[in-house]
Amino acid sequence: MATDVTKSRGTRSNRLTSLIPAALFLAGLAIHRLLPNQEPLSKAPAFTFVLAGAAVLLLVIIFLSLPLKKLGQAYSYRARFISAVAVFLILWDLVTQKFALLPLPYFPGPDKVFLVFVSDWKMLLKSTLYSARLLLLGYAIGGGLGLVSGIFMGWSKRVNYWLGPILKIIGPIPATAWIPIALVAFPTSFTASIFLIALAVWFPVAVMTSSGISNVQNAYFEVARTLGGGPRYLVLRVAVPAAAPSIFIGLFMGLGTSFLTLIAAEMLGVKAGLGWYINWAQGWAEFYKVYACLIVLALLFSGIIKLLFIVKDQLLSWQKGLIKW
Amino acid sequence: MVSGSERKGAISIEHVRRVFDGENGNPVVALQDFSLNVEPGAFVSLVGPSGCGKSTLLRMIAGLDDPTAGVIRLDGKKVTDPDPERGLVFQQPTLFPWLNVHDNVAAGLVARKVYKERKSDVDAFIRLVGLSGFERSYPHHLSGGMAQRVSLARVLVNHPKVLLLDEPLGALDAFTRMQMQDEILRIWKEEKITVILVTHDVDEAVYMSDTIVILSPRPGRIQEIIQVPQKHPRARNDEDFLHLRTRILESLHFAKAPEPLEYYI
Repeated sequence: MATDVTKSRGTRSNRLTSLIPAALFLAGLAIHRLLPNQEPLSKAPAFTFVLAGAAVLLLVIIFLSLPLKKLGQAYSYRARFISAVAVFLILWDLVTQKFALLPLPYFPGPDKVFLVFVSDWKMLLKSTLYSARLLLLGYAIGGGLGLVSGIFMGWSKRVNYWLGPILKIIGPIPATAWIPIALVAFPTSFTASIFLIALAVWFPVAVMTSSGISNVQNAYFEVARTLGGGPRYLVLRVAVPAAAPSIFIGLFMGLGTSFLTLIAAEMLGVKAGLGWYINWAQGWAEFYKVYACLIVLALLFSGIIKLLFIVKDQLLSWQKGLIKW
Repeated sequence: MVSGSERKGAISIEHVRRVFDGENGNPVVALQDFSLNVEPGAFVSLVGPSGCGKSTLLRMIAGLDDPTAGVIRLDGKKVTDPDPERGLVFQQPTLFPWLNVHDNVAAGLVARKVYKERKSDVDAFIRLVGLSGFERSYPHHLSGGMAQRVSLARVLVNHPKVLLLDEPLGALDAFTRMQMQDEILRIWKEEKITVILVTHDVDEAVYMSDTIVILSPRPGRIQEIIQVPQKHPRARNDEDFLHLRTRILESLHFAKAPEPLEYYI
């Protein structure tokens, strides 16, 4: 998608503009090291490494894109955005570390935030793994149940008669509203959280699966029946693939609600995980840890969504342009 | 590719009546006491005005719809449900968009769990309809004519005794339609299959079939059965052809006052 944009731009100016992001990071490095600080810098120069590392990485990419044309095109398409990121980091450094324009401890400087990845990486990693485990279990259970109940509801009028109203009345309650009940109804806060996440995922997946299946053109089923397809074939080989675009939207929506529920559950009940980490850091007024954790959350969640879309592109290659990510 | 010599495909339609529930509770009679015998290997066209129940009849032969009264038999066996021995090609190709050409054609074999043994048939029928090289293409990349060929191959791979065609060429442009008519005739001869074609294109019926059954407007009834004696391949514009065409149109009350022959040539 990037090629048509980059091709229309001149190649001569590309050589020079491609150096701008790296230059900006180096400028940021100079500002960070040379300007006097309002707050003492940390012992481990975390932000220095981030800026220097970014500059080096960009120079390596520029070097590599001399033989690798595709990398060069992708890079020059992103160059302006990377520059903006560098500018943002410089401004952040200036308004906090250098001129102390924002109140502390709520708005710490970049050096302090990036230091967390050095000083507290064990705790962050542990929290990330805890959250990932909880999310995976909850999402798998909720998504699986959502698929199965959605398929049955979309396929069978009788199942829909009984399950439909339950789904329509219970489903819209945000899963987080169940937290007090879940915490007493389940033996551990871990199982309670799995239940909450599964519940949050179940609703959108079941709704989108069942509506997807009940909206499949009857003609497909007629064709399949005349070709000799039995009920199993009609459900698994016709209804499910025909409803796949809709099922995918349900899985995507379920991912969003699962993130929300995960963090809420961890903040209230569970004794580990990224939501818990944020809450705990806030309790000690260590806001720089909150920001570091937000960065981890952003990377983790966007990575998971990216993964879902890769799977979708594989499965739905017959149907392009559903939702772009 | 023709399966054993015992292949038949005789259809007998006995006093079939089909009544639908109308909008305001009034029953609508789509077909009234319809009886017809089709010999194995015959090519029969059903021609009639819209709403005369010809598609309903085809759906009942396919087993997708049940007669209100009367029986339809294939080789003496009562038709109750759809079965791959009665292949139906719809007006729209209705390919499964999530499967490529190869997998669409293989769908019937997969559904009947005989894909492994009959794998080679898939390629054979893709070749038969002239789509070799397109096995990996997805339906949204195919033209209307190509898609209809795939849907034909998808039905033929099941080795049906009877091929039911519900205006399969109606959505195609005139040139592709003529090409496909020849192709269907070729397959009909190669596969020695019974074909029942529903069409409202009189030229198509005259060009393709041995027997043309003209249906009256609702409720559908047999108005006239016309035999076409000419051998294949037929000319599309000789005197016999035009004579038959005029006769059918007259029977359908579509023809105006007789016009001079030169007009058509």
